[in-house]
Amino acid sequence: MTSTTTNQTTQEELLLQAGEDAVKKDIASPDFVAIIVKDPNADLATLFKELTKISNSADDADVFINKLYTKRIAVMDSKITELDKQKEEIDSAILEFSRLLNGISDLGIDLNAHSGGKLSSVNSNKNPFAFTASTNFADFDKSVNAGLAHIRLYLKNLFDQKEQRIHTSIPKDLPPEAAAAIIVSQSSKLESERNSAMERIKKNEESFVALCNLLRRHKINSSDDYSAIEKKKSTLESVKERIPKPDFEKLYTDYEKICNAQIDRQTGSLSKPSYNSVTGSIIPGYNAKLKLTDAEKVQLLQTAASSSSRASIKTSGLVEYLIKEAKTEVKAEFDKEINDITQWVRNDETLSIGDSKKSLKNQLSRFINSKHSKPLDKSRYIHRIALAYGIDIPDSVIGDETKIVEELAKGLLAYIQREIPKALPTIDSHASKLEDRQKAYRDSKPKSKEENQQKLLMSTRYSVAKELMQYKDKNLTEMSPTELEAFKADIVTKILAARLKNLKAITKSTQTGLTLKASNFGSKISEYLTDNRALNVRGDLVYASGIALTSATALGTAMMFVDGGLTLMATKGLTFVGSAIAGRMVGRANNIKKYNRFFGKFRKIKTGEEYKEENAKLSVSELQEMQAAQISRALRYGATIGENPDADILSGVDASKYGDIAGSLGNVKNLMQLEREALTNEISDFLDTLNTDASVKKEDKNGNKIVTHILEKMYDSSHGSESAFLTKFEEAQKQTGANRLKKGIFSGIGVGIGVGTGFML
Amino acid sequence: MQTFESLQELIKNGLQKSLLSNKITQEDLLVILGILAEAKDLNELEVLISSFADDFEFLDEIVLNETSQTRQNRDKDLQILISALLKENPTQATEIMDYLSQNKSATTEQVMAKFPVLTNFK
Repeated sequence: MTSTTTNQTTQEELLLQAGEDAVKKDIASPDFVAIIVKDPNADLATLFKELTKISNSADDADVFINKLYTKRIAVMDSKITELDKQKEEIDSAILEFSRLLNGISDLGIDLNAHSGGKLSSVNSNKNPFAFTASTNFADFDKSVNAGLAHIRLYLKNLFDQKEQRIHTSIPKDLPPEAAAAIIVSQSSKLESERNSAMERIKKNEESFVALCNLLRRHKINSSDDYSAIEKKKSTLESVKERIPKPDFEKLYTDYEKICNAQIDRQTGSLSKPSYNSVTGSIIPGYNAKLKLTDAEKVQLLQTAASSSSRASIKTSGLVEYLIKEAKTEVKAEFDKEINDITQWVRNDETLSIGDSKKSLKNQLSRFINSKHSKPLDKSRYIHRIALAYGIDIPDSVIGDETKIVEELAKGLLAYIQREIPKALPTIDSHASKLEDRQKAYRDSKPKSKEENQQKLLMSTRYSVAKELMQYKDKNLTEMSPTELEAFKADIVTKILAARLKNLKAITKSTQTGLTLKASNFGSKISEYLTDNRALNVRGDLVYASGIALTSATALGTAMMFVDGGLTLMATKGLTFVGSAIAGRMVGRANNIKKYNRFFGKFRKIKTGEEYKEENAKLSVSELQEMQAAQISRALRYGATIGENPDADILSGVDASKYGDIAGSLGNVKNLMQLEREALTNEISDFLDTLNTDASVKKEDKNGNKIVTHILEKMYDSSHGSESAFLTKFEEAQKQTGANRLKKGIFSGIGVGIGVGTGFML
Repeated sequence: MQTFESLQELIKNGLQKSLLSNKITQEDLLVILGILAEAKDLNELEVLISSFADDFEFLDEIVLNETSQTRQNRDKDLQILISALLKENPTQATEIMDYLSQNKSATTEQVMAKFPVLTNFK
């Protein structure tokens, strides 16, 4: 690299290329690239710190730091050991070489003379490489080889000289045999010495070759290189000493301290401090602008839970705070998911709580998989659910998703079985209170009609409440979805039946003096005409006149029959007109269209469908008013109130005869059906509330709210509208009675006039 | 000559290339980076690089490039001096050139120390 600028340019290009490659190849190295891009001039130490922070987030901090430290130390140790081995080998070779040189010296050879002065300082106690001034391995090799050649020559000369001396030392007068024996004997000794010396040289030569190979292998060329090994080892040892040993206790303490301080300072919102894995210290304020996300909080809890200082961490305020927060804020944020699980557990037809943990586990697993696909997200989601529900995931299953989900399912079951029944046990105490109140009402004597009505109302309410008491020992969590639906339907039926029973009782009480049953055809027709079309006084007069005219015409016809054809024709014509009016007025249901076709311009009769359409536009109050009027009218036509709130609300009405009224009854049924649906929804909501609304549970714990809720929310709450309904019902009854009286008077007058006129004619 | 900073740049580039070409794992990267990051000066960093050159290809490349660069710089520095010496003492100049060919990693300073005669031509 020739300059910093070139370095940076090359690096930027490399980064661009690297980024593209990473995307293409999906290589998981964006962290490293991101850090370098962020700070291209960062030194290695900064780079390492930044990279460590990121890596920390993907692993438990303490585990990660420990792992990294251990591996670095292991690598350094391995390298230092390797250098030690190199040194040992060289030391060993040096020793051998020294022995070689010393062995040669023992022969009385002047090494210095044969090595050109290069072997003079050989000493096993000193650096053996000091013998040569050369730093070149080839020089060393060459000089030692030259030295050995000299040694061989020296030995040859030595033994040659010795042999010569042997020959010259034998006295000349010695007999030839004796001289020969001495020469042989000495030569043999000389030969032996020579062989021994040569053997030692040869052996040393082998050692020399081995030494040279060793030096070649280690690229040791000189004393500088040898000392370089020592220097390298010293540097490595120094660097190794500088690698900081993680102080986990300090790490946790500092981390906790900072987190707690930040919790206090930011009233509950955490900034993320970071820890320097190199020094083991905490860096406060890192990413100070970033608040700790929920996932990070969960992560922190996981870290704390799995740390070696688990006991101390778990009792700390920080973790307590985070657990609390996880159960409130986190739970609130994930309320929908948690509710989904609760609802799923409750509603799944195939789920049998209590004996099918496997099924729950499998379906829970599917549920979680449908929420998240990435393993990390999934893991965090599972832990979030676990925290929100207070489920403890044991350390032993961490890392095994199947077992974690199993633990979660087990915990959820326990949660459902533990928490939901808490909403129910207060029924008993409330039931006794209701019984007391009911008895008090039952024993009291009403002083007025209103009080009597109130008593009836209350009595009905308590009878409903009493019915509900049979569920006091019911555990909703043990009900299958089908049973739960039946339970809801049962409550609805009882409430509706109670309302009808009320209606029936009150109707009877208000009917006194106003017998509604029609006793004769005329009054029935009259009532029918007037009631059915809700005529006003003016209309009554008109129709009464019409009826009187018809009657008179009939009488006149009879009389005129005797008198002649002209009169007969006129009478028939009048009769036809009268009959037409009367017939159309009857207004059978199947004739409504025909009637409307001829007389719709004057007054249109509404069909059942039209009633329904109009009803749909009415307010609840208006509907109740109409419902009251219709029931009242139906009762007057002989209908009776049944016990079945759906099919037999009103029975005894001849629909074929009174089609229009039957249509009205249909409306009543529709209204009751609507009410049933509304009640059912209300009950469903209520039951769901029991499971999810913390305030409901709280109230229940404080006392007897379950029945109160059922009554107040489903029955008592409808009491207001029911009272209004009854009031309207009574008003309708009275109004009908008054109208009927009025119509009767007018009809009587009309008939009287008609009959009188007939006689006159 | 490399400086402490430029050598770190070389390491960063080498690490990145190794990582992207899957020649090194993220964990090994952190380990070797954590060791190299402990170097306080150029000398320590060079020692660490040479120590781990056999284990990491990118460090070996740095060593080779460094050697090559050193030789080029040395040869460039000594060229004039040896030329001058050649005129006065061709035998010694030849000896120095032989030495250089056999000791490719020897630095200018080392050659000057071995052949002090060269200082006369500076």
